[in-house]
Amino acid sequence: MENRRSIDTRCRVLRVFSLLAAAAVMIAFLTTAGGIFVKGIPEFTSGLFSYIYTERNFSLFPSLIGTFYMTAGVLLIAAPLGGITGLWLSGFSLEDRTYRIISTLIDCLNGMPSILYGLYGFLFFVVFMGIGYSLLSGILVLIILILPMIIRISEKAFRSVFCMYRETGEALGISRVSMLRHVVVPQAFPDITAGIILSAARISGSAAALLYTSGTVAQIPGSLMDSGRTLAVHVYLLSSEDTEGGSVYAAMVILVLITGILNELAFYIIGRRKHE
Amino acid sequence: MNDEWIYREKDTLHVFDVRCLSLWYGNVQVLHELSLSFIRGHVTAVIGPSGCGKTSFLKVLNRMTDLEKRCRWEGTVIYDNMDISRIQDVNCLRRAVGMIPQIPNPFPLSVYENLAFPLRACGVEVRQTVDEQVESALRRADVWEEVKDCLTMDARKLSAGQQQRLCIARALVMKPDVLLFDEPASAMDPVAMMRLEDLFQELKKMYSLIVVTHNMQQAARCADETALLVQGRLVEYGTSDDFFSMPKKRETENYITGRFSQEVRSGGKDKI
Repeated sequence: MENRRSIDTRCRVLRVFSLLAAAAVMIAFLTTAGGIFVKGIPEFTSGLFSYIYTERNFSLFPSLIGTFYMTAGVLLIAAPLGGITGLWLSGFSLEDRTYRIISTLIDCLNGMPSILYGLYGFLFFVVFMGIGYSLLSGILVLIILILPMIIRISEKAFRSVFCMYRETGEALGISRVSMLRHVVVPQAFPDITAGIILSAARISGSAAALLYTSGTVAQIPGSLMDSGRTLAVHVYLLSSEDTEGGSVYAAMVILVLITGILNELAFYIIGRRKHE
Repeated sequence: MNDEWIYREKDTLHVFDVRCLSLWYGNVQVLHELSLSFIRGHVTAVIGPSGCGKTSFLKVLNRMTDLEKRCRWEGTVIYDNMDISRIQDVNCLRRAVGMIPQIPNPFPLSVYENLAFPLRACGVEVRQTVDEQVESALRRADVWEEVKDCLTMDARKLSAGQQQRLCIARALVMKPDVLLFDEPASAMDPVAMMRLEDLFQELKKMYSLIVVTHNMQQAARCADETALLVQGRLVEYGTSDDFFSMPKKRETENYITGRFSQEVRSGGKDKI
């Protein structure tokens, strides 16, 4: 009887704690996202979306386009490269030692603060290689920043399929290449797509790595060698310049929407697969 | 080696001749100098307690042990007059010696593609041939009637018993000579099990079957020969009639009557 009661008490305590945790998450969400929306939505003016940024309209349109260019440029290189590396790590690298070294390095890169990437990019791409503040420098830095994430996600996706079907394929005498083409890649594809969308969200949300590489010019970049800012950089700069008015909140609303929608999309793809 | 080797009429009495087979995982010896021969066209059951090396033994026969890095084996295994350790193209051996996994794992493809994809992967391209062979394999595995109307359905939606017969069909479509079953009854209800045993009797007209099982009744019912492995050693091997009615060894008698010796009981615990 005593025992039963103590279990009941423990259950109750556990329930209170989980409710508290849920409440904390809700409050955090409402005060940040909610606050941004409440403050930002009234600030929307047509000037915010004008083609050219001026000191008066604080247009976020150039940085929106900059974000798009940046994300597209990074993913164009990082997605195939990361996918192939993940595939190799998942099943084609047989030497344990090589795998462990690469794996550790990837984890190290994954955990590095993004300002370090920014400084590295500034010193290496901007100064040493002489590319200067440009979209290209930013893209190169972000490729390095995002690669570990894409590699890890695709490795995990490939590995889970490999584990399930490797023996079966081998037992039937099916070559690895056929298994890869007909079973492994189609099965792993949705998970990897979701991972790439998540990394797109991270790219469009990163500012620290770009401040010293892609520069801060508030214009639509005309070429890879032009400087341009992304939305996240735009938000950072507006808030640090301490401008009057709330155009920074309006920019934040757009940023939250973009990253939020990308995240939701990724989880939607993952969730739909679970239902199959 | 060419296809002739796979498809030519087999006339040897024994499908497999195993001599002095020992197997290690790392430093742990799992099999100790096994010597036995499997008779062509028979069902041979390999029984024994969990962890006695039955599955490892099965994996040697189609060289699935190659996939495990820590695993090595010594001795000779002769399949159809060939030493399997000398076979260059292991895929040829694996098609000739089909393996049905313990837990059915159809590919994440349609029912039809589950058979057509392995066929195409080994070079059968003509659509009509593929169709014919898929149908004939499904018929032989006794699953055609159930799946003929849903060939495009995801194979993972079939029932467990149907999935297992689909996996048998998938092995049959490669035109094997021997079928290896790894604990086929472990996840089956009695009805599905009886049906599987009936299927064994059909299949043995065309193939040789080697069935690893821990179900002694099943071995007694459907096997022509039975071998008992305990702790990686062959205890007794003979026709099922003799094996179950008048075992030659005391250990066998104890095992089949359920009086496990201490040695047998600790068999599973020694495995790492």
